[in-house]
Amino acid sequence: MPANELDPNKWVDKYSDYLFNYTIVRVNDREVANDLISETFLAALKSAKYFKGEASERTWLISILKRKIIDYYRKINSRKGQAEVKINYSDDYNEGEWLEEQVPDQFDRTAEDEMENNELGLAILECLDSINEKHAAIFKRKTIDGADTEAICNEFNITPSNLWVIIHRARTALAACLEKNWF
Amino acid sequence: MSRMRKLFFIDCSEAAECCDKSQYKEAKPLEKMKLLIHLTFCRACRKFSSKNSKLTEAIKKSKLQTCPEEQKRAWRERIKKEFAEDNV
Repeated sequence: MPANELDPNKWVDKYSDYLFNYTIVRVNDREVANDLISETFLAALKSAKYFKGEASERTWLISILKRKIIDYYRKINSRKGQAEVKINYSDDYNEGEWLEEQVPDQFDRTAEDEMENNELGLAILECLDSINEKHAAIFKRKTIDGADTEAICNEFNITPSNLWVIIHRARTALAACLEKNWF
Repeated sequence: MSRMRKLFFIDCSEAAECCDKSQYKEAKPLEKMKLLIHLTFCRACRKFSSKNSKLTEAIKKSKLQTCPEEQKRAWRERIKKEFAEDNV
């Protein structure tokens, strides 16, 4: 019996936020991200019979999504025709400006930070997998969506004190998990 | 003194709740004060409080987003449909 089995009806609840956060920093467009995730789910269903159970469901879905993201960039690149190469050369008139162009771009550093923060976000979502599904959903509504305590209580039919107990357990579990896997 | 104690001194579980609430900026001023008093003499809660703030900081930094519920519903239905067809 394989170690991991697929359960497609649970994919959306378990992985859609993870896939979305993975994709959004890579394509930077919500609609494109949603399309890529749709394609990923469909491709995964089609090739479900080839899933050997060696990797986790999540890893397997991410590997499909990665291909979809690469395909997306190939497609928009070929639509443009050829990749543009910008060549700068200095002439007497622009002398001095050239040096400035060679200075490392501050923007790149930000991009690196963004990537690391994104990985942190994915680690948080992974840690949330280990707690009760409903509790994780409540925690996400409260912490990520920033929803009102009252709204969440109505949505899940719980009292505020239930909510704070759930939040407390989720935070404690999450802090322990992150401590082990991230910090 | 006993009434004073009740007003200002709280146990660890109450302190934890105040601490959680303050992570979401939902602790009332009195709760915040009680928490601060508790933290001055409770080492375990100080530790918890610092971990808790670190977690809030990490979540903020990660800029996590969730997908809107309509999108999720659409995906769920699509998968359910395709999955059922595949298994016919």
